[in-house]
Amino acid sequence: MNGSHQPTPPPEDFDLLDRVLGAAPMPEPDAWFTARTLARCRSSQPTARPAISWGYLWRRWAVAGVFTLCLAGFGLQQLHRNHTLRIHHQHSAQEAFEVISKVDTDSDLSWQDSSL
Amino acid sequence: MKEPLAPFDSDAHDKRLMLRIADEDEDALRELVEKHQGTVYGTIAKMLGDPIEAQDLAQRVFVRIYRAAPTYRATAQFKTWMFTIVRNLVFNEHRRRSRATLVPLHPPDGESAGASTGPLPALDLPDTAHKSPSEQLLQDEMMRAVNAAILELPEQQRLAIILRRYDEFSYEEIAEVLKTSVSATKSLLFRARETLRGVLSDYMENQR
Repeated sequence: MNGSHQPTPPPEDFDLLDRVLGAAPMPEPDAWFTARTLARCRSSQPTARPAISWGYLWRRWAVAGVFTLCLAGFGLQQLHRNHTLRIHHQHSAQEAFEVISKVDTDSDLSWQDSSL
Repeated sequence: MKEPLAPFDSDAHDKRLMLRIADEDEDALRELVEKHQGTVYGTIAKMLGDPIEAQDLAQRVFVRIYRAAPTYRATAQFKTWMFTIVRNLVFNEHRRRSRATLVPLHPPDGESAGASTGPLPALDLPDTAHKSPSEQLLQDEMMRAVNAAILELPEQQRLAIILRRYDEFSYEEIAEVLKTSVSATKSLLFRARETLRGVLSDYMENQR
């Protein structure tokens, strides 16, 4: 690189230049700089993180919705099962009633026959 | 026997402050600003030669740091990362000024107190309580000459010499900020010094 071919300045001039440069020290910020900077940081939050983010809301509603659907499905399943059982019981009862009435009818007829 | 205290790791402390700032800790932000406002503002003021603009740019540096806190990854030294932001803002401002024709709102008043220091306000003068009037005059003149000479340097050389001489950055740190090699950094510094030596030769003679 170019730096390796440049002659090294003598130490005396090096110190003298540094001394001269030191005559113009770094300026300092005023006493209000920190307060103004903090205020500017606070007011610079167009992308400030809101208390509740849209992602958080969406996730909450999605979880609640899925849970509700599962509950509803379970509830419907239970209703359907109960309804099916009720119908099955009704059929069974009706069949039993028909069997009994048939038995009664047959026994009536046989009495009549035997009476002849 | 007490164990010696571990040396204070400024970089690790800055990174811890950044983590707290990401958690909206305003005390951490205040501490970071107070710690670095001197070097940030001073460097920008030296680069631009305009204390008003330097205040604005220095604040913008800290605003950028604040907004970057949630995604900040400590892959490099905090100081060099911060001064990369300084470099970007200062160089952008420099280019904006070179395109615009700037007219000062208040023409320089050579008779008003404190304005004799040139582009920098009087509050930046070193302590002159023990100086005679002639020494004070020489001091003022030298300060104006040094600031003017620095402002005449190309922006890369200017930033390099400010970071080296006033912020005491190492060659490696300057190279990281300028996004160049260490040898290129040394070359920049050498050329800057040669230029300054030529411009300020009279004052160097007085210092012998």
